[in-house]
Amino acid sequence: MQQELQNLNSELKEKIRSIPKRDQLLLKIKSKIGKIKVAKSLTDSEVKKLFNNKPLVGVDGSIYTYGANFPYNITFYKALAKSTTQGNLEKNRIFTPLSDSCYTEIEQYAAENKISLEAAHSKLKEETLATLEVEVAIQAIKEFGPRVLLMDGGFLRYGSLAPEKWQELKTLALQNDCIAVGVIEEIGTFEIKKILQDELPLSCKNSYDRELLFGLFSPGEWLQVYENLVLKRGYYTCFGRLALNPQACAWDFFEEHREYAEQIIDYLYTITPRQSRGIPLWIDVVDSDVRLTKNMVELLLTSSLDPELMELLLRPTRDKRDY
Amino acid sequence: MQVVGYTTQQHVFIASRKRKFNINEILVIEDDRHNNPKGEVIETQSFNRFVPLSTEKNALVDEKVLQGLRQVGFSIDEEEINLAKVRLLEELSSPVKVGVSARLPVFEEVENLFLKKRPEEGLVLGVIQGTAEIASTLPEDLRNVAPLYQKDQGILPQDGFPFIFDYAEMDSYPHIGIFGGSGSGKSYGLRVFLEEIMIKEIPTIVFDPHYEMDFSQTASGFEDKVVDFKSRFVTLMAGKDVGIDFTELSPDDLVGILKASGGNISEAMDNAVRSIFEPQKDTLASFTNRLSSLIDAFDNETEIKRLKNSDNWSKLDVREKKRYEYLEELLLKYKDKVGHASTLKGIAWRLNKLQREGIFTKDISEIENSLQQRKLVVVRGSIWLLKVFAGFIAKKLYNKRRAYRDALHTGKTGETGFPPFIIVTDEAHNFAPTGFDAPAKGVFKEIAQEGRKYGVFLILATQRPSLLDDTITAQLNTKLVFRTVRSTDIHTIKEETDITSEEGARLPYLSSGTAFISSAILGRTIAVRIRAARTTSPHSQNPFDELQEWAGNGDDKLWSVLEDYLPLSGDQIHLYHDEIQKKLEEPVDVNKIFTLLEEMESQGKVKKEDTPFGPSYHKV
Repeated sequence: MQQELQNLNSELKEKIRSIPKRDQLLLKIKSKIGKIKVAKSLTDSEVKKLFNNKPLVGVDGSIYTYGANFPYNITFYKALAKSTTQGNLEKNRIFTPLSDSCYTEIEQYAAENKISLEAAHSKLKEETLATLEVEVAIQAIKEFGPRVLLMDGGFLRYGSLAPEKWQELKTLALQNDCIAVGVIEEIGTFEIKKILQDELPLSCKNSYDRELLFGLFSPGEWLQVYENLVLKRGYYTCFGRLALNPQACAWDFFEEHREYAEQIIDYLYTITPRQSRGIPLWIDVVDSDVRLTKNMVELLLTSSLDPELMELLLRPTRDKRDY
Repeated sequence: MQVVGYTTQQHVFIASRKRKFNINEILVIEDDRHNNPKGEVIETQSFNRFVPLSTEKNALVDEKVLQGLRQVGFSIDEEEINLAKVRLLEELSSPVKVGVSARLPVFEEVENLFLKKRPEEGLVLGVIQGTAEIASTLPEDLRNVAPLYQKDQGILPQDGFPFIFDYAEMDSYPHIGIFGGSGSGKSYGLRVFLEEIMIKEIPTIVFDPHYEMDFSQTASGFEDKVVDFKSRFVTLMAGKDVGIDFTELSPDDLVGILKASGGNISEAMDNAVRSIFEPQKDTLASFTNRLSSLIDAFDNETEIKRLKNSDNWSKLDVREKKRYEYLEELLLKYKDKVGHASTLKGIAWRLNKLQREGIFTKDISEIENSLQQRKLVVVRGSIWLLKVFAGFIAKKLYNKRRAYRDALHTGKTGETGFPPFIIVTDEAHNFAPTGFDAPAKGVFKEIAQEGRKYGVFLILATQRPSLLDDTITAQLNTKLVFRTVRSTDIHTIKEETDITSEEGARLPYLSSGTAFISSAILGRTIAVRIRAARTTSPHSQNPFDELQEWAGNGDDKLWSVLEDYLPLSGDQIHLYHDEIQKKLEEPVDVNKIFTLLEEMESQGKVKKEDTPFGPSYHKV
């Protein structure tokens, strides 16, 4: 196993080494993709002006599956919208193949998409969580009237997993002048690489944007993508680095909100702790509020389900291992 | 306030976003199933999950970030969570329900817990910690009975429930220990205790090796409500006002006294004393006379024998003959038992020391009289003398009281009445040390074990509880524990009280004047801040401040007198010396006058001229 890892190590090293040096890469990016801008911390009055007495809302979701293999498990979903002024909105759901209605749902989904029940179940899980998040975000726009809506994650995910609700949210946000931002912690796209493809060495053909962007920006720098360039259809995406952590992150906006991007990134820079991993503190606050933990879920289960049902249907045998 | 996390039948955690918890406060937990149990806060914490300790994973958040969020309405400060670990006052049969709310109690709910007696029926010792917030519900008669004292701030109002010690309960749970290191407020606490005892007119004898138990000076802040203790206590000097009646000594007493006077005594000396001493017959004179004669006899043994058998014997006059015969008789009687003259000289030397202290010139009738009058008697003396004395006095008084009680029981008449009383001493580990013997140890032990029956109680203060005899420590049913740093002492305290490990951990950091009171009478440990003493110790002034004043005062006074005599020449100083002393109203050395004038010259207040007749001093 060690030998295998050593081989992997040298392979990866070779691959990373082939990525062009920072200066060259920056030149290429500047010529083909966009302008490097430097974010600035907003003053109190600038923040006030931007928000105009409306709140900031953060949305995040959490999922926890307890139990053994399909169908002997139960999944908890929780989606939270947290306003800086008006408190929280929460949506929860429990989903288990053990319940007939859920099982039928899985069967239908499997038939429609011609996939196995297990695959249908795991796909449904993703969709359910995304849908709940979008639903709670819609409700938050209606109830809180936020100026900025921070979503934890990119827009593509919501668009593909909960397309109808997502469209509803977009319409609502545009109507209400609410700027939605998808904060992407782990960049998983290869759009930049695709554009630069021809200028990169062959060994980079499998690289993702994440590798290219690592360490590229100085803290506070971000990439303002040229207007004519569309990386994601319907969305406007920027890349950048807001803290000392060299890993870059990205922000999705609705295309219609392109003009606000610079101001919003300045604000995100303002509320991102310098020593952190580069994510606005508000996202972390929401995340810590929403997170479902093992303890919590087990407490809920043991206090609400009969012990014999727990043992019969849910308790994974591996939990009983002594070592 | 809400019960959170895990609960047990003894402990719960209570959290609050808004309110900070106070250590030792009582909270009511609204769990109907358990009849709303009460608990005491034994640990408090506050934390803000967004402002964690800086670790590798969690960096400190920059101020600009917080400001950026504040501007849109979110204040991170409000994310602070206060957490209290609460120990239930009574163990439940099952854990408290998680999630129930908690609240502060009102007076009626904790009255039974905190107040066994009203101020007029008990000793008001201080204020119960953690009761400040419910003090507003106190009834009128419990307010302002225990004002507090804070260095630099003076007298402060009572900010909580008064702690009232139910001394009548000592009948079931006798004896009190007061433990604490120096500066912990132990002596202050003892003073407050004694003031309360005087107010209740409980006959008490205090052994005061530090000469600090004087109650005639009113503490500042109490000038408008002076309690006159002057008529309620007497101060007696061991060896001057009170002493030991030699005729009342038992051989054990005498051996003990000799032991205390000069370190230990050898077995030979012990044996010799017991042989020579004739209890109930010997007076000090007869005993010392016999002792010195015997030394004389030993020193001149051969001489006496030789003389007796020589022709010169008949030539001696009658008195001399008698003297030699007496010595011979002594030798015959005691030689086997005593062995050697040096043994006797050792005894004589120790006896002489005691005699010089005046210990045998008086008796303890004054102590007895004062106790009969329900007064507090303070006996002062050096620690070694008190050690001798305490044993003797305690035994004498205890026996007297016991005889009276026994007589009452058996219906015998004729025994004079003697009241119940309390024996108090600071540095108690000197009087009844663990591991070795001391003159008072036996009787202290006896009183600790049996005193309750006769209404004789101990209050023992010490900074070294681990050095106090453990049979006695075990009998101290109420303990006031002040700040203690030594781990051995903390260990002893933990063993001998129901102090919990959390409280034990607080012991080294207790603020001066705060004590844990652990008492079988209360059934639990209560943290109490001792009330302000109404009187002050004669030593309460810092000795260095005193020195400053003292030196300054003396010189200033002398200078103001001298100024009028300037110019002064050396011979004139001798001439006016008497006059100056009269004006000064105290004696002053001529050299001191010269020194002061020299000093004033160096300060430029006086000009010095050398004349053929010595120096002459002029005003500048």
